Parts: sequence; C-alpha cells; structure tokens
Amino acid sequence: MKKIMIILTFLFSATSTFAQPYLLEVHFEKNKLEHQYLIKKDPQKDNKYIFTFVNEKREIKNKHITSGQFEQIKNEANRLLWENQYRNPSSFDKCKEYMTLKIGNEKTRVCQQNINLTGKSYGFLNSLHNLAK
Amino acid sequence: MKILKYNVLILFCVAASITGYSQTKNCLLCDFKMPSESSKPGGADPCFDLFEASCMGADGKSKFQGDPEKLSNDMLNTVKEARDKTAKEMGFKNIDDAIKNKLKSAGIDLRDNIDDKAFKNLKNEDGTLWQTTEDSRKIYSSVEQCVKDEYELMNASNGTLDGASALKDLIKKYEAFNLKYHSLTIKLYAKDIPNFVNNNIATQCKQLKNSSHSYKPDENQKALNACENFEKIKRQAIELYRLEGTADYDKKAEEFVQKNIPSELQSNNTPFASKPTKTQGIEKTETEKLRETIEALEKKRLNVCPTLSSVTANVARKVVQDFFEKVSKSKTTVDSLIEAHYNESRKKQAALIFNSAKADIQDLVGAFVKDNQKRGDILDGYDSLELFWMEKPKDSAYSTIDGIKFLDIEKANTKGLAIVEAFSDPSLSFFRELNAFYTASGYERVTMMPAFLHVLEKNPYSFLSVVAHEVGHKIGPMVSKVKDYDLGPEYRELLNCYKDSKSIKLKEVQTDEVIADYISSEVLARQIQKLPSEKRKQALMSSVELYCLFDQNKHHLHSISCTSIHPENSLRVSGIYGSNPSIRKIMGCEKDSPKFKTCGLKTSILNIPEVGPAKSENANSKPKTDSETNKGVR
Repeated sequence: MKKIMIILTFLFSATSTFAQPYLLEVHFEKNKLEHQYLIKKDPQKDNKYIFTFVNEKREIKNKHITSGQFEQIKNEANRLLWENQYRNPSSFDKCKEYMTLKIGNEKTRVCQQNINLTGKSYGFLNSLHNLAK
Repeated sequence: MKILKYNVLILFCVAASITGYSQTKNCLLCDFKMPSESSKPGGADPCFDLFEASCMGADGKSKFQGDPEKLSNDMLNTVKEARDKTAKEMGFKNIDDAIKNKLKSAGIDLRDNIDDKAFKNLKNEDGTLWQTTEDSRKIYSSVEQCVKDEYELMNASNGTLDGASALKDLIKKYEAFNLKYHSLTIKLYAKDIPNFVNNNIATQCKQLKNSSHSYKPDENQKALNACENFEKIKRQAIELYRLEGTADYDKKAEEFVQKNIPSELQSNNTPFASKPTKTQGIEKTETEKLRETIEALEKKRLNVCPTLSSVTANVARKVVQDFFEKVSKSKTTVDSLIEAHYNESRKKQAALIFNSAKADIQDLVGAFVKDNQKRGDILDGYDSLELFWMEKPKDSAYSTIDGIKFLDIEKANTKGLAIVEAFSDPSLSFFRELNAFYTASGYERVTMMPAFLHVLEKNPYSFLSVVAHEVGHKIGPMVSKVKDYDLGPEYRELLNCYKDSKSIKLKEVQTDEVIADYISSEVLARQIQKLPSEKRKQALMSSVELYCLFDQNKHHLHSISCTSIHPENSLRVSGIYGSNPSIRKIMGCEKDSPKFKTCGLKTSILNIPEVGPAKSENANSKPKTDSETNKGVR
C-alpha cells in the first residue's frame, strides 16, 4: 500500500510538473540558428521559476530563476511585444521573421523589416542567451 | 569554363609538387611578437599535453588568472568612455550623472550612499540584465523611505493602544502611509503602460477567471467590471501608449492608471471581507470596529513597499534602457567606439591573418577534396568570403535632434544590418562580448567582435587560430551540406577517430565545432612550420592561449567556448590541436600523442612538407598581398 502511495505521489507530482504552462516563450531563428527560451513556474518550489534554453541541436538546458528575475524578463518581453505589436506599422510588405514572443495568450512575430526593434531585440536575446550559460 | 579552371588547378598542384613547396616564404607569424605568458614554464611538455603546457604553470596554477576579468573590464571601459562623451555633449557631468538625472525626471530618486553593486546591476554592467536582481532598498530612496515608514508604523501598532482616540490616530497614520505610496506607485505605473495593463488588470482578470469560486461577485464588482471591459480598456491603453513622448502624455497616463488601477480582490477567505457587524448577536463596540479597520489596513500595508519596490525597479530599468538606447545611437558614441576598436593598423593585421587563413584552407581543400565539382565550388566560395570590418557611417546616416546627431536607422541600414544591430542595442553587447562567428547565409562573412581585436594586439597567434576556426566553418559538415558540396564522406574517417574513447569521445552535436577546430589546427601547422624550429613550441602554445583564458564553468565573455556544442577546453587543445599529426610532425613530437589518439586527414599530412629549421633570413619576408594569397592555391 505504502509503495502504491509513493508511486501515486510521484506520478501526481510528475504530472503537475509537466502540466505547468509556459508563462513566457521566446523563439529565435536566423542563419540556421534556432534558439528557444521558455519559462514556467516550478510547482515544487515557492518563488522559483524554470528557465529552459533549447539550442539548434534541440539540446535542453534548464536552470532556476527567482521570481524577481522572471518579473524583469517578462516586463522587458512585454515592452518589446507592445512595441512590435502596437507602436510600429502593424504590417510589412515582406516579413522575414526572426523572433516570436509569447506571453500568456499574447503572441507577436518580429520581422527583420522592423528595424526600429532590431537592436533592442538582439540585446534582449543576448541577455537571455547569457542567462542560459 | 569551370572544367578548364579545374584543369589549370590540377596542373598548378602538380607544378607545385615538382618545384617543391617553400615553407619559409610568406611567413605570416615571423613578424608577430610572442605573448609573455607562453614563455613561462608550463605544467607539461607540449608534445605530451598541450593544454597543460599552454595554460598551466609549473606550479599547477593557471598562467592566466585575472585575464578574463581584465579583458571584460577593458571592454566595458571603452563603452563607458563613449557613453561619458555623449553624456557630456548632452550637458551632464558623465553617464552616471545623466542616469541619475533621467531617473529623477521619471520620479525616481537614487539614495545618496548608493550601493555600488546595485547601481552597476541597474546599468547592466555584469553583462546580462537578469543575472541578479538588485535589492531596491539599497538603491532607491523612495523604497528605503517606505521601509523606514513601515517600520515606524509597525512600532506604532505594536504599542499600547488604549481607547478609541489612540486607535483613530493609528488609522490616520495607516491611511497617510497608504496614500503616500499609492500616489507614488500610480505615477510609476504610468511610466510603463504595457506592464501596468499586463501585470495588474490582465493578471487580476486571469486570477478571477481561474478561481471564480473563491471570489464573491458583489464584493469584487470593480474588478469584474474591468474584466468584462478588458478589451476596451486595452484599446484605450494602446491609444495612450502610441502618444508616449508627447507633451501631455504623463498627465493622461496617470489619469488612466488612477481610473483603472484594480482594487485588491476580496476572497472568501479574506477575514475582513464580510465580517458581521454583530458578534454572537451583540453589536460591536466602537473599539472593536476600529480594531477591525486597523486589521484591514494592516493587511493592505503588507503589499505597499514590495509593490513600490518592484514597480520602481521595473521603471528604473526601462528609463535606463531607453536612455542607453538613445546614447548608443549618438554620433559621439558611434565614432568613439569605432575609433577605439577599428583602427587602420588592426585592420591591416586582421586582413593579413584572415587572408592567410583562407589561403591555407583553400590549400587544404585542394589536398583532401578529390571531387572536382565540390572543390571548385568551395574554392570559388572562399574568394568571396569577407572579414567584417566596421566603418564609420556617413554623415547622411544621422539626424539631428536638439543639436545632437543620432544614427537614423532608416538611413543607416547597411548590408547585413551590423551597424544598426550594434548601435541600437542599449547594452552595446557587440562591443563587450568576446565572440566570433561565421555567417553562412545572406552576407556571408566572418565577424570577429571587438574584444577579439584586443586579443589581436596582445596575441595575434590566438587571433589566427580563431579566425581559422571561423573560416573553417565554411567547409564544416553542416555548412557544406547546406551549400551543396557535402563533405560528410570526406570527414567520416576523421570523425570516427574523434569518437574513439582514446580520442575526445566526440558527441554528435559537437561535430561542426570539432571540424572547425581541426581545420584551424591545420592552418596553424601550415603557418608554424614556417617559423624557425626553436620558436615553434612557443608559437603553438600562444596560438591556443585563448582556450586557457576562459573557465567554461564561469559566465564570463566566452560564448565561443560554451560546452554544449564545443568539447571541453582541455580536450580541444590537447585532443584536437595537440593530436593533429601535422602539428606533431612540425613540432618534432612523437608521431602518436601519449594522451590522445592522433587524428587527422591523411591527405593533409602528406601535403605538409618535411620540415627542417626555417632560415632566419626569411623571418622578415614580405607578407602576401590579397591577390598573391589565392594564387598559391590554384
């Protein structure tokens, strides 16, 4: 009985870990490089979030970040999302997409043609990449 | 036409083998000064363990302690100097003074005795924005004051409170405290409307939706109304957001926040949400009612300083990032950074090394790629491969605002967007990171970031090995496949050798980087063999120094050596460079490395001529010109 309980507890906790939705998703793709940065709440630890980096070889690297770090990343991402979505021309004749940002249910695709955002978004991606190291 | 070209190529190779390859001509490294570290006694013989010989001293400690930090600081200092110049042009004492003024204008005062580490973190001087989060109390005076006021309030509430009068006084104190910081928080929310909408209204609606059973509708009417009208409120926020920067934006934004700031949700478990005014049928006394009010205020108080702290930190980062972005684009910053890193003497030396590496790789391709079509495509491709070099944008790329010239990214849109990317990044990371990369598509080129141009001055040997690695990517397994001259079959045996447990136990994901290291080691072999034999060991140790500089477990500026796709540094140095048969041959080492299996392309070893000590009269031989560089290959 005890064994069954342990297995059930394990299954339940494993399921709850996988069931956590991503709160933030950043997808970058350019020159055959494909990077993904994902953040979700760690259900096992209070005030901790799991930051996941997936590289072009689909290798996965996870690390914990604090709620403070998560808030700052999310805020920066949200500013970029609004700037891309609402401030600049909403569409381009051609769009060579290099970054997708998803915060909760909101999603935006950043085009290379949106040069107002190029430096800022590269700075953002660079900081995410450094955080993943 | 192509066939004719390859016939000429074959004829030239034959001619070269008949006349004999002169290893002493075009000696690239002969004029280069050896860095001092390579002359220090190493922990091992380079033939035995190249990594230990190059990186570790005889005492077992690293020869390069403190160097990564120094390079990191040097790079940051040039960025700071450039920003200081722009800040002065804007009328400030320096960049720190400018930041303090900008924050003050946004309603954020920094403490007088500001914590240095926290201030550096705010300015992103540690290389990433989010490596740590600063303690707001150590940096913002309003947050520090909030904590002090809170402490006094708690002291007051913990004291003896007899009678209604004392309780009423305490309520006034609570209300004054809440009001003071509520007003301040509203002003700050107004500075970042996207996050006000996202973090406050949207988050609360999500909370209400997900746990609707926990909240009684009649006690959360305002929040429910806001959620019902969320799309409308968001449209208003977007309209407002588009006005940011205009004269009356601040006032309108504050009004918007004031109107839409959500009140705290009252849950079924909130002890004060629907307390009966009677206790067991008895009407509550005035004192009891006052105590309940204090309890409710106390609950509110708990969130005041943490909220102020997080909103202040967020807005401060936005203000600093926005200001840095502006400063990055000023002509003064642009010119200052380009002048600091891209001077003529570096350009000449970098081009010389780059062209030399290209020529050596073309030579190598001539030796191991037997298929005429593939070989021709590769050699043609290398002709057009460029080394990126940043030049100052023309005056027409700038627009003048308030007497200061700023890079207009619409006008400065140069090929490959390098200028735009580099100077519209608020953190100017291009000028701070030690990295180099090969770009395969679009504008095909090799980019050695400015930190490498510093390395070039101190240690051109290391620069050569990295340039050769990047140039080598063009014939790596992945790129060659994409570019339709798949060299997978040519590398099969070599890769199997690296996979062996007696070699570096190559992982599949590391294939491209390992081949690029191998190509680089072949280039080094070709260049070092032109040096007098007594200089070769030191030259080789100098060439791999870069791999000694960075501890792969630390998070300094070393994305070039991250362990996911690169093998560990000692494996790269001893298992690839130190076990290259061409290198072992020119160094006079035993054929087989004692620690790692010797791995190399057989054809390339055959093409390396037998070496004897190079004659010193050739040490000052004239460098090749660009056109000469490619001639020798075909």
